[in-house]
Amino acid sequence: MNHRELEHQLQELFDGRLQGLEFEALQQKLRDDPEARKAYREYLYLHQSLVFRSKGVDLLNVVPMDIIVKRRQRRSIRTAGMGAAAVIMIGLLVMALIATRAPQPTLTFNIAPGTDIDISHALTAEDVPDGLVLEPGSRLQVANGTVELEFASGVRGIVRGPADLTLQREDLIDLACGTVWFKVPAEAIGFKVNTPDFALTDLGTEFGIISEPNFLDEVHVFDGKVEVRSRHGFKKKELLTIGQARYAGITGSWKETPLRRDHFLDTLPTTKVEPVVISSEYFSTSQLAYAGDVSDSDLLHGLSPAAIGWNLGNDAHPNALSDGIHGARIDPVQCAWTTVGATAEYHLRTGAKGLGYDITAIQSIADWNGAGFGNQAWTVEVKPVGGSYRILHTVNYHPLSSLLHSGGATKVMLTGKSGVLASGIESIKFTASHVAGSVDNAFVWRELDVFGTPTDQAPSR
Amino acid sequence: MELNATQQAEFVSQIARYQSALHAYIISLMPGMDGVDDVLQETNLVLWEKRRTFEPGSNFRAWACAIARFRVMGHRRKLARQGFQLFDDDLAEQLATECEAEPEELSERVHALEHCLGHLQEKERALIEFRYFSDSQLEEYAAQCGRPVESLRVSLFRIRAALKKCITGELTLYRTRS
Repeated sequence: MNHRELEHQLQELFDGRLQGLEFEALQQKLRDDPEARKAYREYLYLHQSLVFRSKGVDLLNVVPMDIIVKRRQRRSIRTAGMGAAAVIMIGLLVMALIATRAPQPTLTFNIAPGTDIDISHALTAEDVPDGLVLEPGSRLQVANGTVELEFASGVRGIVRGPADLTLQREDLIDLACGTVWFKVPAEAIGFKVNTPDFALTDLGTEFGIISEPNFLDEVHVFDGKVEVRSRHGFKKKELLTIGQARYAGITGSWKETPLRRDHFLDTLPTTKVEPVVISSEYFSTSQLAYAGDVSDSDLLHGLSPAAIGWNLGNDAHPNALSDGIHGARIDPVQCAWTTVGATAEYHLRTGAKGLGYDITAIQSIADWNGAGFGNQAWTVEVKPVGGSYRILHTVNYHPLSSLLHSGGATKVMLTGKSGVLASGIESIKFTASHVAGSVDNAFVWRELDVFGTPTDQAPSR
Repeated sequence: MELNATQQAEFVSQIARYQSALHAYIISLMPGMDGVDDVLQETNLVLWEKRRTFEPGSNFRAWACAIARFRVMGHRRKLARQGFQLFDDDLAEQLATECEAEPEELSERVHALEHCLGHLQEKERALIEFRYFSDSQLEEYAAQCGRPVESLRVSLFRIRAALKKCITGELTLYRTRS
């Protein structure tokens, strides 16, 4: 048996496909040859690492066993000699069970008016559940609209499309994409959500997840605590508590991002939700494609923002956001260099009639000569005269590859369905979020233009 | 006597720390066989049941592996009765002994694996992901991508051999640096 044949047989062995004389031959080789046993060790650990990687989070988390036992009793599942009141690995969840048919569906769901969904099931023939029901293996795709999830375990969720999720077990959802809010009662502690970027285990809480393609997934904790483990790089684990929000950095570490309760719905809308804000997004691989679009006559022009958290390296400054000058290809002086969570707040004052301003459009331009710095991600909040800030819209636009060495630009234009984005506004605040791919998830913000006119009459309340 | 809360937490963290090592140990005793997860779960349960008998400061891995070994041997006997071909007990034990690894080594291997997976082409990575993340058969994947199953098996062999080589190189690099 040469080395290639040995490697082939070892792979077949770990795949469970080696039989007969080949099995006997490998056994003899392993008895006789220390080098063959070394190769066995290497393939053992390759196989084990790949398997463990696929289910490692399941194997590593800890939940109180008495809760698992209670849950099983509720679902009429017989267990094989489980001890109560123990604290043990979640891996035990799937120990040898003889399951009887659950008395109720694992998950039922409701949809808001105007919601467009597609469901597929792993079960076949007469086992396929009827109605708005998901069983393990079922996949729910939400093209648009909102869906309410109700688990038999008591977990509630509100999913905003576009979203794509698969129910793996009663306590485990794979979320390929979507914006989802979950509330987990104490008896369902240990509920898990896997996203492309991280695996989350609930420890009795209320939390939201944002997962979008080409974007770094976020988790926001509104109550209690969750444990999150990155799927990337060093696979860092972190315990998050109430008020904390993080996104999964590409190195496998966790990074702070502002908590955004407003991103999530916690009830199912009873009417069709029309977008109030229309976001028109453009990109170009030509870095200066939108250089001529900057405005020197908008509401921000000439205002200096109250700025917190910006990167001032290379003479970049947030004042450049509203100066009406785009700047040359490599011209940091005319750029604002973001950090995650950096804010720029502009006080527009109260306008000609003291009623603030009607905001009709917001334009944002980002670009650089490479590395994904031309993408943009931010949230805009508006403050009515005498009122408090509310979130108007969030932009996550990442069309440019980090490998695009030739650079590129993005432009986002927000307009209102009614022609006005917000009325009676005296202050407006922008918060930079994180873009995919670039260094420290920053981007180069060239210009922010806010268009509008003084409010003519007080908005109805 | 029951452990207090701190001792329980410490015990659970020991179980968590050695989970990967136990997983590997069990696979080494029953390579290619179904039921590894079941045995691991049974082992975890027994570890918990016997938590009061573990002496703090003694070798947790050795203690846990001894318990896992008993569970595996029971499982092997069951498989043998069902007609499965198994390595004889002496060889199985020799392999398991020679394959023992500390959690730190396993952690290094996982990091190296991640790095090496990053070098794969998209199609290669997709095939590996399917093989290890999906419960479906390779035949289904063959139908999806329009390739013969045997061709996929050849690809898998080549990719895994490349991963093994890459991981070995990465581990050498780590150890040189440290």
